Amino acid sequence: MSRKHRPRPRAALPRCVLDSGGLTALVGGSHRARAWLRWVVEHEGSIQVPTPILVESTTGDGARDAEVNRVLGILERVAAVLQIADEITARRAGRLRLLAGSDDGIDALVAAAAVANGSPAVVLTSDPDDLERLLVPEPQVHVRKV
Amino acid sequence: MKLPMERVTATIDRRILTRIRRLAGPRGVSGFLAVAAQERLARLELLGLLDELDAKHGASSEVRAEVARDARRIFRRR
Repeated sequence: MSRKHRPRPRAALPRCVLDSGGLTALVGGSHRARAWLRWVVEHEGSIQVPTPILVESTTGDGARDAEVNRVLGILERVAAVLQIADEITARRAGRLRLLAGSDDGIDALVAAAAVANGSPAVVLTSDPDDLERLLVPEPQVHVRKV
Repeated sequence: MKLPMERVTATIDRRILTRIRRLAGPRGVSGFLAVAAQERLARLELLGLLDELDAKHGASSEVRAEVARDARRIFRRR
């Protein structure tokens, strides 16, 4: 096929998923986390925060959680970022966890949320190793350390 | 509960208005414009949050450029 007739790869709407480390990095001043979010917002993409990460990001102590709650509150109010895992996502997490030989259910749920409909996505995390292992079967999802 | 509404007069490019009328669906031009405005406000508020965090922690144009290159590659964007 000549170059002239080769179909162009289609641009995808950006999707960005934060795990607990990604959320903490955003609140804690990570340039990289903010740069990713800014790029996604400027390109009309979506941001997702799977609710299971709240296990790791919050303590139930209002004073201690104040900054996370404030940032999360704005993200949720303006972009409805918090995402509850449905049965399909939970089962997908189980499959990814088995394939990776992982015992971390929360990471598996984050990975499964990022897979979603199979479109490209970026997961922002402070600890990429486990998520990268979980996402080996899903190369359209990219893990970035922030 | 129905939210209070207010009638406004706006000026809009005729070609854009034609496209909106063609695509607007059952909620009409007002519904279409309300959703568009809501989406735009949400994006601006998010950018406002990021500006606030940049002001607090400092911003790095190098990191932004690096992330933009990586993101364009992943999402095939210009």
